[in-house]
Amino acid sequence: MSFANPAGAWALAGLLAVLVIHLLQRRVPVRPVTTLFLVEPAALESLPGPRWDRLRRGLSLWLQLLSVLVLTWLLLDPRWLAAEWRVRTVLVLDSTASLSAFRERARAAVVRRLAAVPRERADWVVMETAPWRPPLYSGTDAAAAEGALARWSPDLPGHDFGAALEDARHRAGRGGQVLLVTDRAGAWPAGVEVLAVGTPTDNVGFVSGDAVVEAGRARYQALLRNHGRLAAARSLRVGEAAPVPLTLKPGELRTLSGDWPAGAERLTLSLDADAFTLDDTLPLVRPAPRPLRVRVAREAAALPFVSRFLAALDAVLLVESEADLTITRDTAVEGAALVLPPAESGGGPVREPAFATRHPLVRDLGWAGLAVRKPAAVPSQPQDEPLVVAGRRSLLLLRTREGAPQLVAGFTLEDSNAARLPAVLLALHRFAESVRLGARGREQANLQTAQVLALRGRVEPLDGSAAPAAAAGVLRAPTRPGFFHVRDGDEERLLAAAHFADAAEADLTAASSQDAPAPPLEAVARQAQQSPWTPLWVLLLGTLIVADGWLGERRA
Amino acid sequence: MSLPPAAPWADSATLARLRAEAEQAALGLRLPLRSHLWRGLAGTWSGVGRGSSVEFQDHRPYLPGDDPRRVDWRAYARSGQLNMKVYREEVSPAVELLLDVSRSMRLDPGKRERVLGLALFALAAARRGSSRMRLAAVLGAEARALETQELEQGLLPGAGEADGAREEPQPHLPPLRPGSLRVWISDCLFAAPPAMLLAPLAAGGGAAAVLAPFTAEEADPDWAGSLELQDAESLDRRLVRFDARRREGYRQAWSRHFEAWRQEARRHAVAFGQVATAGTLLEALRPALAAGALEAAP
Repeated sequence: MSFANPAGAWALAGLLAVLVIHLLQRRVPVRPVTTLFLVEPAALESLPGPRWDRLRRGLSLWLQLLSVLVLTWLLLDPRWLAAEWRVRTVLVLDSTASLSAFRERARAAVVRRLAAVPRERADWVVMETAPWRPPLYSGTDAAAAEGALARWSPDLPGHDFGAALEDARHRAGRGGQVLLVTDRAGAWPAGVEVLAVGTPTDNVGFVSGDAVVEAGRARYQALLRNHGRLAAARSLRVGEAAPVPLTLKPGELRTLSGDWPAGAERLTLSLDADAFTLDDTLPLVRPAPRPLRVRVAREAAALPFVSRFLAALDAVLLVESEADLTITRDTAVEGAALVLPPAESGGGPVREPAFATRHPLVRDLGWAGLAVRKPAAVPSQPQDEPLVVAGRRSLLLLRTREGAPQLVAGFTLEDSNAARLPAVLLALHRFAESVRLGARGREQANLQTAQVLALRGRVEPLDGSAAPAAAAGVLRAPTRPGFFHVRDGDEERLLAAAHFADAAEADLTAASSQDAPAPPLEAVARQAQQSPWTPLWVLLLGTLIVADGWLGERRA
Repeated sequence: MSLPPAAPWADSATLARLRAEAEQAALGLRLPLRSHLWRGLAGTWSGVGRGSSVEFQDHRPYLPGDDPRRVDWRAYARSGQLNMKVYREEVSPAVELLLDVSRSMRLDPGKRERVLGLALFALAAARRGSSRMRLAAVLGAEARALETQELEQGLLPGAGEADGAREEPQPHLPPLRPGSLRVWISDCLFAAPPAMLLAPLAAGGGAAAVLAPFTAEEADPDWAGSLELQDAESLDRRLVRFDARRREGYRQAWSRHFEAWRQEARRHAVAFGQVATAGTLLEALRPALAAGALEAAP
């Protein structure tokens, strides 16, 4: 048997307190009398103030002493160890990219911790802080748990550990322990033991990069930062060009730019490798939006707004058929469309102010200035979703016809100020881009590692490495810098370059170590074996207190 | 509860003093025997019947066969007619001395001596009046006849007993002889209505007197501050805080209690006299004399 809370023994001081109280109380003299029946009932009262009556030594004193003893026993929280006890240890591995600089230190520290535990008494769970990644191992084999470390890949941007730690505590249960392996000591939630394996480390790397195309001419741009405390010298390679020496002062942020190599679809900037390698490479692709095939119906082509609108869109191909988006005045159009109906016959001006819903197409835009002299003739359908309303009239609604989205205007461009209102242009632009996402064709873009992709399909890294698993149907860019495709069936939907862009993770100067000795496993196991008699002790304590109180009431 | 065995209520020196005091008091004071017409054996008190007593009561005409010694010759000389003198019958009154031996009567040493002294006085007064006395000790519902020798030796139930047992505060009188003089010696310190005791005391055509001893502390205690009072008989304990106002309330309760006893005693034609424990027995009995519970000796 052991006590989970040895400090509870201090409650025994209550015995002394009870005895002192009883001893200090002045005895009230007892007078035998023959005329007690003549004493007024009002004279019978409890005694106030500092002149205490000594409570009768006897049952009350012993009840109070016994109460103190029972309370002490409860506070000590005795624990007994079951014969076949085991302790579950949940190893939570920090999956953020900064750990990649200390991966070997972390692996060695974990192996030491595994070796210090009696293997026949331990259960293991190895998991990562990324909640969408499944546990690496769960079982009783310490060797297998050690082997699971090889599958640990700390390459994610910074994220909250709360969900993972909560899951770990739940998996550990009351008798288990949670060990967080990370690179920084500090304040962590209660019940989580921390194994910090970091050391302050200097690092130089790319913090962002992109390529821009202006007037048909492409250029690359990149930001380079020295996260360290000392000046750093590195060699920069741009594509196949000769390395260029660079020296950056501590904390310096330098912009790099240059012409995109002619005819090249892809370009890679690289630095000398250091402790943190994820930001030493910056892959880029020449950006190219997915073309948007647009058919403008004849009746809509006459609207000056339409040409201005199309000029504001990138990569627009005007087609007569198989369009991704149709701009028309016909409300009966099939497929994705931007519908600008004619004026409603006999319609009067819309006097109510316009309000937008929280739909992503129209939120955070200023619609109050929309003035409609004549509303458009829009036959309503049951599944229409109002986006902008004025009174009981929809000025802009989203319709779905056979799975294709249609943005239908409830105003006429000729009889309103919509063509001049930025909110209208932006909403239509958002709609066109949303249609573009589902359009055929390939897009080329520069993304960040682990970035969520608004596409369906599968991610295929060009270097042949394993693609990141899609958690809950969400596609993500690879977690390591490189080039990758996204294919939906046979169709290539995206050619992209993913680069590491989390500057906070790249700054390793605050990394630190913390390795408290592990508590004996037996002590951990004892903590779980709470006495089954505790409720009875609590009941006994309550009974003693009530009995003592009743005794005092009866005496009074 | 049964009566404890008899034990000395006083040491020999105190007993001798009390007996002397009782005898001395009995010279000047009597039990209230003259105030009642008694029935009983032949004795020195006037009875209710007509008998050969020396006390002339009335005349009646002479009838053949009457005792010629009782002819009123002076009346014959005046009237020329023979008349007979009629005299009250002489009786020897029965006296029942009932002694409350509850713990309240013997708690205080002075009160215990006064109780014993009262009992000895009653015995001495009864003897001087040629009365037949029955002596009984009463404790709660129990009563036991005592021999006069026991009383003369100061042996009464209760003394020397360890005060651990509860006693019933209110005494219950045993059956009494009709037409007797009942002398009840009790402090009357119980909460029951006085009628519950005075009614049976006065019943049966006799006369009754109550001698109620009390101490000065009982009438006017010097209680102050916080006390734990324990009733001498029920052994109940109560925590009490006394101040001047509460003491005054107690004194008033004491006065009301014994005023109720006096009123109820008058209603039942019982003489009620309180007897203090302070002073000599003779001095202490004067209030009882004034109350009619005693008579002055001729």
